Amino acid sequence: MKYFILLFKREISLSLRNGTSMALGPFFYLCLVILFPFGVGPNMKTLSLVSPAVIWAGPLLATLIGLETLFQPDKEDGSLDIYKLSGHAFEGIILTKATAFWVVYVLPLIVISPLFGMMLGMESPIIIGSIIALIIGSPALVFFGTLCAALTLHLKRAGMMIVILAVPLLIPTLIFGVTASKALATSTTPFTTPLMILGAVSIFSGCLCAVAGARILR
Amino acid sequence: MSPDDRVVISVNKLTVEAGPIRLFENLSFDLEQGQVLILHGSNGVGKTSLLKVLAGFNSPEHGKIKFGTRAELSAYNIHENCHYLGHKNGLKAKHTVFENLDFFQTFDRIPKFSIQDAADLLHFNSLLTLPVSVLSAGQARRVAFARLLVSDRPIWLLDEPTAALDASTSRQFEYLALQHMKQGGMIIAATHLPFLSDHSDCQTLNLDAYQTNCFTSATTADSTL
Repeated sequence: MKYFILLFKREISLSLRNGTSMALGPFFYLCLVILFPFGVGPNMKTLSLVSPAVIWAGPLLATLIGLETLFQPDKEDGSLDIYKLSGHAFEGIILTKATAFWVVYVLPLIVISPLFGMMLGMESPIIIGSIIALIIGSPALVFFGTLCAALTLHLKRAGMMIVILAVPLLIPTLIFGVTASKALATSTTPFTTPLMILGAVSIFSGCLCAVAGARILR
Repeated sequence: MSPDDRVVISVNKLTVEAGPIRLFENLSFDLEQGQVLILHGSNGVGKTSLLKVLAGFNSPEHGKIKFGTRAELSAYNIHENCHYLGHKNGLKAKHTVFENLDFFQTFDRIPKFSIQDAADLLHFNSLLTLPVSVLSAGQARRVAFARLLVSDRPIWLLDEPTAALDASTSRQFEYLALQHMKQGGMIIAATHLPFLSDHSDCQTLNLDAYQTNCFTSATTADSTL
């Protein structure tokens, strides 16, 4: 465990020193939030109706775009070889890297979501519901994305390929995420049921990403 | 120490392929602790491929690699016992030299030299606080070599260890490699340059002799493209 904490700290510190790529995600998300209302038109009611979808699709796409940098630098500078020979469980190394990615890349997206929610005219119960659903559901975005990043590691310009491969895997998360986001305001659907499914998908994707990712990269 | 207690890597009838090309067949050798094996051979003959197979990154087409004491050769598990210094240095450009080595020392579990001592031995004391991105190729190579010193593993797999180095640093690498051998380590190095060539326990292996360089059955270069 000590070694994974060490690796976790290293990943965080490396990401923080690579500031530009970290800021890319939130700015991409911002662009989506700015562009979307122009498409929907001036009706505030329509906008607030569809905004939970934007609050989910924004972080989803921003995460997938950022995932290209998860294994690529390690492959290029030879760190991946060192990790393979380290004698520590490779599954643990992948999970550690994915978790560190979630903290430095996805957590900021969730933190700015309330602000973007207000820009889109969302009511506060929906904003609160979205944040809770994002926190529980977003690990699945990273874990499925990590799996796709491992699969595409040997391709040049793998970024778009990761998005194409991962989007079908992320549809359940998106459906239950948006359902949970709206549940607090409508009270026709229970709030906890979609949350539990989101949590289950996150845990399942974490296991899959660790085991299958290690097999792929070895 | 009786001969049966000596640690040995035993390679038996190894055949290695790279994509559609069979690089070499029926390669066998034994390497005991305290010995060094230098791989020679022309470009593309499979020196790097052999090192990658030994490190466990790729698996051989046929043949077995065993590791352990003479009395008890176990199945292949040298991964955790070996350092691999490939063409890539494995250093993080954004981190300083010290941060890189500090990470390796703990992450590879068994520390050996302190980072300060390793820096003294390889003459990069003044570089410890600099980020790796500003180092020259030779300086970065020295830091990568220091990784072999700060954590202790018996087997060193070196791929062109002295390329891009000046003469005095090359000699320093040789000296450190000799020290490692005297302490019972093993070294397998692929190189074109004279590296440890005047040492008595040094075996050389010219891979050109095992070269087949033919396409494997039913595969042509075109079908894999």
